[in-house]
Amino acid sequence: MNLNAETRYTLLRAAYVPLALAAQVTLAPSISILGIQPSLLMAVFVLFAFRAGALPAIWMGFVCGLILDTYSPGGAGSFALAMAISGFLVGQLHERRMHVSYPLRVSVLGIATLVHDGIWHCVSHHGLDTLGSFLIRVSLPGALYTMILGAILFAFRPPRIQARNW
Amino acid sequence: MLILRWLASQALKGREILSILVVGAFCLWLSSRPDPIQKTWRTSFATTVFLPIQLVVERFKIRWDLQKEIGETKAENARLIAENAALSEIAEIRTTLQEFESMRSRLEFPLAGTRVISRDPVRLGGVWLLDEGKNKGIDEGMAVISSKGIVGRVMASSHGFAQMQSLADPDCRVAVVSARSRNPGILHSPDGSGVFIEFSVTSDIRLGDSLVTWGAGGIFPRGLPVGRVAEIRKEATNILRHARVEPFQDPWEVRDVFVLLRPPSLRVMADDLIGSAKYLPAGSP
Repeated sequence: MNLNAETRYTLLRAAYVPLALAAQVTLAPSISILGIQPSLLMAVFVLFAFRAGALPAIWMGFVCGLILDTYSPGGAGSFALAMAISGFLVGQLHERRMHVSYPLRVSVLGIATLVHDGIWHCVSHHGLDTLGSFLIRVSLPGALYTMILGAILFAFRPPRIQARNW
Repeated sequence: MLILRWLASQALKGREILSILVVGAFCLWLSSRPDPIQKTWRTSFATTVFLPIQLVVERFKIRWDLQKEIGETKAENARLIAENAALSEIAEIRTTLQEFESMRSRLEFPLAGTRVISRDPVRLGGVWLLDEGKNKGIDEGMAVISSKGIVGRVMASSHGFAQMQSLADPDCRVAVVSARSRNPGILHSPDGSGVFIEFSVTSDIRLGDSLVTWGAGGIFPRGLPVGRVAEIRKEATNILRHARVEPFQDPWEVRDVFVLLRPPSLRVMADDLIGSAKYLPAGSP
């Protein structure tokens, strides 16, 4: 099977997200601080969305979310929807469309984590009245930790300096 | 051309919106199902579609846990080995002290316990380094002994360490006598390869005799065990004889030793005088 360099690179890039999912399940508990776990999956997934765009991010998020839904006790489909919407939103900042600076990328990761957790909370039938406290007490510390990891990850994968003019 | 590009981007955007709508509708439909249906859906997904992924993740997790456990076991093993080494060291020191207890009562001067920390690993003789020095009162010319016999003498001392001349050093000479006949001889080592005794042809020193220190010179007190005559060599001149001595304290096994804190001022006196002299601390006038 002959694959051109771009296709091979896309496939390789897509393989990172399931790997991050496996790392999230296995490694994340061991690097938790005071019970706060970072989301390795979100960090890699947001990077993927920046690189690949919205369409691959939606489907990648959907598949990874479905895997999480299968093994988590919350409402089925909640992770899939949360990740797909996060991927769609982050994918709007696709590298080919616009240049996103390094600090902004890290900030987008934090916001995407909060958005993901908010959607998951709502779709899992936990109720809107507890959404605020959930975001502040549970989601925000995890988002900050994820941003730290994301800052390291993004430093190794810097954004392209010039966006193509589509 | 620009219009075509714009249309292409709109089409791409349309696919994105369509995808998110489809995904959103499916997920909302799934989450609105009753709990038993969701459970059935989970079970069927886990046992069919995600089974390979589950197996891979499970293997990965098992491998990770195993690695972690192996790492912890290795660390624990290293800690236990270190602890065992420390306890063995303590046991060894205790054995040395117990062995030395019988000799201690015969000595009239205080002792300083020390350890050989450096020596020539190939040659018997030479200068050895002890891990205590002037801070423990160790000074030049003091005798170094072990529970089995004499080992050497202190050549130089500094704060925290001292240099010791072993019996097998070519420059070391010790006056000894046969414990049986009380006939004297000089212990020496011509080339550092072993310990020998030089004595007159008229001296009554025989094979198997035990040798003890004579006390002359004031470095080694009288009566400390030295070794046993292992082989007598006859010389052509028939004036002096040489005999090979097997030291009671094997020089290769020496580790923990004791320094006899005999004042340097008594070093030049004869043994008879040393026996009756009052002990003076090092540095006293």
